[in-house]
Amino acid sequence: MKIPILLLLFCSLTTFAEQTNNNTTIDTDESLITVGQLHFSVAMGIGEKTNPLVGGKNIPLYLVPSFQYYRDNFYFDNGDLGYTFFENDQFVVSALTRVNNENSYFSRWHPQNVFLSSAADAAQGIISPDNPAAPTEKIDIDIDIENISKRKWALDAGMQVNWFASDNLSFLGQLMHDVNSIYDGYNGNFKMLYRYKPKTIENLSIQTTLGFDWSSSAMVDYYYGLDEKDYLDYELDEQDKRDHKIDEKEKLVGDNFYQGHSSISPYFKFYAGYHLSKNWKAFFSVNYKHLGSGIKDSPIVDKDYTLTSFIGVSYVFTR
Amino acid sequence: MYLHVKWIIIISFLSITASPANANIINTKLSFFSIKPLTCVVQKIGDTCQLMATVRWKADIPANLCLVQDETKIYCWKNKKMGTQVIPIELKDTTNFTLIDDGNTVFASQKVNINAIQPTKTRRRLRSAWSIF
Repeated sequence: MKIPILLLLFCSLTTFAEQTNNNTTIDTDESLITVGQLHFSVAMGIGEKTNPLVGGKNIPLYLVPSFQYYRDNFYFDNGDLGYTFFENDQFVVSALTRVNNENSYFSRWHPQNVFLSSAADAAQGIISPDNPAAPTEKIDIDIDIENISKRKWALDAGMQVNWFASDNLSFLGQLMHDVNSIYDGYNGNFKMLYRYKPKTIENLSIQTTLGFDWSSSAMVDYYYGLDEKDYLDYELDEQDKRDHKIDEKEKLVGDNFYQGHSSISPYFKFYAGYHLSKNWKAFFSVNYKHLGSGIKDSPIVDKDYTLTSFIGVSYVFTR
Repeated sequence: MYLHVKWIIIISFLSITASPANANIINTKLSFFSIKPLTCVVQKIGDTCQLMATVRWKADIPANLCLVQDETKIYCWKNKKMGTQVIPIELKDTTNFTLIDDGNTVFASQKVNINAIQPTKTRRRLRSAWSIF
């Protein structure tokens, strides 16, 4: 879905709502939540999250539920299960756990023809210089999903600090570690969030977020690396064998190993929500993330970004 | 089906009658309009309040008027100069009641407020709205 089309749809929706709303003011403050009350919303609309993996299928977004439940210290917010142990006017410090969602790309990954080029790798110095028979032409090796080891879901736990610098400006920092030792590494997130409510359109709220995700080399390597556990199937025809004089399968496979390294992936997010009534809201969201080099250099990644966009309406069942 | 809940309903007997000034009378043909009680108290916000509301109005000339709650007509009077009726009402939020005629002209309106014994406690959300996108 093209972003301009989504924006046009959103503007049409809000203009229509503005004309039919009789200037009713609705409480649009979503930064506060009622303690002890289960908040359940459903978003309905059109959107997708792109999949950067080679042959990866984009993740469609049509119907998305949202749950929040906060107590004085304990909270659950869309997959984050946390406990706040320090809170003052500006700072909130919490311990939390959640499922690492890096594997969501792999669960929708069905590569068919992923080509690794041993010639290109040679140019990058991956092939041993003491091999006089280093190939000079491209050899295609298929990565078959059946032969790539299955990536597992990791459960992360860590700390989060929220800094509410003002009513409009807040910062969030997170440092997480996988507690079930799937990748034995860390990941972090830092973002700045700015909320804006135009005075001329009372029911409209706008949110912009600027931040970055950091992934340790262990995490990047687990999800985006290629090594012994990933059996790279390939077929060389007789011509290839004659030209390149390569018949050592292990060597060729080994040449195409990829070791991931720590990555910083910056992102920008824009969100605009227009309250049509107390329970209904039209909203538009777009999130662009530029993948760090440790991820995008992987042979199984062919896009250097992810783009998540959504336009639709949401209904909150409790408010 | 009515939920049998143990709501505590406190009827405010103070200044119950809404005078033309506080009843926001729009048309001069209506000289009096009131709803009692003006406040319903529940245990906590979100609870449903059930109450018997007494509605009174008086007009200069006979009229067909209806009492409306959230765009739904809950009681109508035909060709009356005045009306008095006790009507069962359910509320979840502070609600505006209006008295309208056949042509949907609003003659008067009055809010019935909901108050909670347990004050609503809020805290700051630690994730932003729809951050999952």
